[in-house]
Amino acid sequence: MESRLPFGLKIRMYLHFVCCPWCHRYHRHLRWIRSVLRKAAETGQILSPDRLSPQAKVRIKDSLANNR
Amino acid sequence: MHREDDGLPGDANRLNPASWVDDHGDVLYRYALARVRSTLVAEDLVQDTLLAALRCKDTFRGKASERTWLTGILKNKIFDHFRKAGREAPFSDLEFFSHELQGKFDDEGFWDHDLGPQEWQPIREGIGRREFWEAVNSCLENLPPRIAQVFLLRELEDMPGKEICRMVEISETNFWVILHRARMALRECLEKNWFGN
Repeated sequence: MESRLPFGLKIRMYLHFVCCPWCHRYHRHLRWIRSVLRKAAETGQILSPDRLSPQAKVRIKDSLANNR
Repeated sequence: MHREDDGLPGDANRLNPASWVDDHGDVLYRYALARVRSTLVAEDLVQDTLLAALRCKDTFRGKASERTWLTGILKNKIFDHFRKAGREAPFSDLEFFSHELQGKFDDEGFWDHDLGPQEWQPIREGIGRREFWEAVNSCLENLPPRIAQVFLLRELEDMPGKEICRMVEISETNFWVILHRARMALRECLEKNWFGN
């Protein structure tokens, strides 16, 4: 998951997956979690609250106005 | 990577600081919150970002959109935040999840068949449901803050390990241990709390 594996190692890993469903599942689960987290971070689904509070907006606007 | 001063002068009048909070505030906030996992810190980072952008708006090159430019500045602010946190709080979470790992593998390093990963069926169901995201969020919150930081830098930012090590001031060996345990913990938490095995 970190970098491209050399071809030989990749083959060995997939051969291991054939006889070891636990490692296969683990690999699948980690890849799935990564893709879900990335998608969620983009869309904000993972976050609560998913927007700036009105108070924070006022504070930031004031601070920008004072620095303009 | 965008820097605050990354750009050529001349396109600053394409920027509209008066509407930044309304136009981009929520997007920037979500970007920050996904990474720092603290509403207060995320709010402060958005404010710092917009102030920094205001200071250097004359250097806006205009090649990227206003939002992309602001996000680039925010990204650097987030990294600065992690660097600062790394200097202020040395790692004390290296034992995290080590106890839970015991017994999962046999003497030869193979998974224990009963304690190893189970089939998640059906894996895609639930992604659209609010409860699923609450479960993911709660699992992420179970990670110690510094562990979560390393994990999110790697998984969300796709930042190379060496760069993360420099940023949070940990050795490469510890980085791999932390990443492995964070992944194991998150996977197991989801298996227990969502997939119900």
